[in-house]
Amino acid sequence: MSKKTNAAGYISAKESRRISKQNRKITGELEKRRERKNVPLADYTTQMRNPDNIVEFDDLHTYFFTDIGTVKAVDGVSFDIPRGKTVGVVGESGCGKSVTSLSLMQLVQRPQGQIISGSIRFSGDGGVLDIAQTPTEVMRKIRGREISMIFQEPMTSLNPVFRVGMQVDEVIALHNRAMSKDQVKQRTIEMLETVGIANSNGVYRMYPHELSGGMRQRVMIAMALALSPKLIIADEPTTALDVTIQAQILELLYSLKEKINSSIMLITHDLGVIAEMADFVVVMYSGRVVEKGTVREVFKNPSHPYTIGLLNSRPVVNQQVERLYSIPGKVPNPINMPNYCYFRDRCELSLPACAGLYPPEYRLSDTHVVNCYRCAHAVKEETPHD
Amino acid sequence: MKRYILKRILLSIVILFFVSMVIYGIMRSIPTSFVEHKAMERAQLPGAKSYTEWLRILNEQYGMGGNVVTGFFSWISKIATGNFGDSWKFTIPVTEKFSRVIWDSFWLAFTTLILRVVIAIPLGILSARKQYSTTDYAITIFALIGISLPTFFFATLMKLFFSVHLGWLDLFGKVGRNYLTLDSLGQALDVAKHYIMPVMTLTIVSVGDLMRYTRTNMLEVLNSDFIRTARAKGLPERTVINKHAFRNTLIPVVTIIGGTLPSLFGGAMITETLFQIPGIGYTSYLAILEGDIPFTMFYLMFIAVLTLMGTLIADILYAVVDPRVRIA
Repeated sequence: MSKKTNAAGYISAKESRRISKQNRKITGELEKRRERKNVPLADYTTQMRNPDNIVEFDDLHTYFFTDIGTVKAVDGVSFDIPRGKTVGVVGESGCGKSVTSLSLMQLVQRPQGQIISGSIRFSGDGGVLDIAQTPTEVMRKIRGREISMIFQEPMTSLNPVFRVGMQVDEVIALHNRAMSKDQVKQRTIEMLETVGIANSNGVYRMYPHELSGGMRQRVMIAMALALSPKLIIADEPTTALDVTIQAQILELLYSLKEKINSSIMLITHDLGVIAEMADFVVVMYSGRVVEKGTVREVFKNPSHPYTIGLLNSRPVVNQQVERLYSIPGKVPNPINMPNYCYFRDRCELSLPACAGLYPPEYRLSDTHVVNCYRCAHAVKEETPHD
Repeated sequence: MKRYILKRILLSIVILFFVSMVIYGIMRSIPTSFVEHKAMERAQLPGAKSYTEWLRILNEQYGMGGNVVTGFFSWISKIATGNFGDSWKFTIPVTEKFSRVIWDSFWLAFTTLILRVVIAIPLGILSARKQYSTTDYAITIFALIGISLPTFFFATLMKLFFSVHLGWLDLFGKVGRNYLTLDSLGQALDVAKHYIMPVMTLTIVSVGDLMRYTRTNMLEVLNSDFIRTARAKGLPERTVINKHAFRNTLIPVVTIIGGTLPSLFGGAMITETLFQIPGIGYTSYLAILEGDIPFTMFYLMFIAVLTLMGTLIADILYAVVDPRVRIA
């Protein structure tokens, strides 16, 4: 892209100015399109490919226009979240898991972050919407009510200057205008009890700093589930908590999900959590999906070298090892990615074919899909089933 | 909280003692000596006593006979009984002169503060919401001009424009020449009219830092996790900014404003002098010029008390707006 970019990734001030000018032009146009008034309904309603799904990501591209170049944080992600199921999204830090979920909520940091192309089909109360095109006004009614989100940092995700009760009240009252103040409060206390807070009346009047991390995450869950949403996005809900609390929180999330029959998009880098909680797994690497399938398929028959590496690098009970396996190399710089398999340079199983273009999807079964040339032969054997 | 405030007040008394010691030392050491000046003046009168003779007499009269240390202790022992002495220059009790001039300074500073808050905070928030936009840059440049250029520059520009070219306002003074012929409402309006330029000058130079401060804090708050939570709830952007973000931005901003509250009485020395508004700033300027130790000491001690009160108020306000720092 630029002659002046040297190996260390430094760029000249002139180059940076040129990039930021170009970025402003691009984001300015996208913002203008996003902010136009009276968007016709037809522009953002669509049809689900499969009516059993609640969300379908279809070739989603979310880019960040930074001053040192365009970061393709999400670069062609497609996967489905079936109704009532839990989909686990795994991958290392910076692989685009969170940005995918934020795109679904339209919470990507604007104006730098933009959905460039692709669609996110969501089957909600108001019909099937393409969230990539939905205007913010319509989106607001979906957030919190139909899709809600639990963030990874319970310590900072609650507003420090408002009481816990008020913060839960707020979301209930916002989407239920008809409810009286007392009803809202009653519902909040009921929710706090549901998430296992014993002293719910006391906690209602507390400030977030008076609660422990686990308690705050419970409050976040109460807030997320207060309106029985169709989809809960849990973005590393247990990362900031200690191990004993992690299990409790996951248990709680799972039982509540069963109760209100919603789907969960569970983002994590903990494979143990996925094995326990999820029905489907999506493995992401550098902004792309490299492998997806049911938990059984991915864990029994990991087919992408990255997935194999991930599964090898986890500790196994009753097995003594000197050192845990770790995948060699590091994540490639997300700016100016070449169009070949992003994992090629770290891959211990690479083939001559890997020198070519980014591998297409190879289908190992109805649900198991891998982007790797190593599976090119497998697809031929499996094709008759399809 | 009560114990904390009490502790702070007791600590303030200790600080004030040392502050008074330092400023008294400085006042006695500066080359402008009221007594020497007076002695020189008297000695030059026809048929007067010699300079040294006058100096001895005046030193005795003004109680300046001893050295700095004895002078300080005799001064502070009088202060302890609540007696601030008479002003040498104005020849009336210091406190009386003070109560005559303080309100001019107060109204000047109060109007400025209100304008400052009303202008700076919304602009700061706007600037943060539209970071790196043309609006943001325009506001920032405006703010930086205000911060960088001195009061006398703006005062002069304004005088040139409003008084010389347009002739709308008087060049200086608190009242117009036909003030005494006006009724009470007219008199109030006349004073208000004379306050326009000083208030504008003070507002322009003080609006910038508060605006930048608001902007920085707003940006920090807007990037925090709980703002994302608020958006994820489906709250309209207006509520997110005005309720969730603003309340958090307020924490440092309120402390800054609270800290400036006592300085409302501090006077604006340069601006008051430029426009000859007879406030505390202008009066103490005249007193310092002539080495009027009782008045200057009183004024500087008053400023020290205001500063200490400012920090105390800021700390108390911190606890009011931020539940995390409330002390049980």
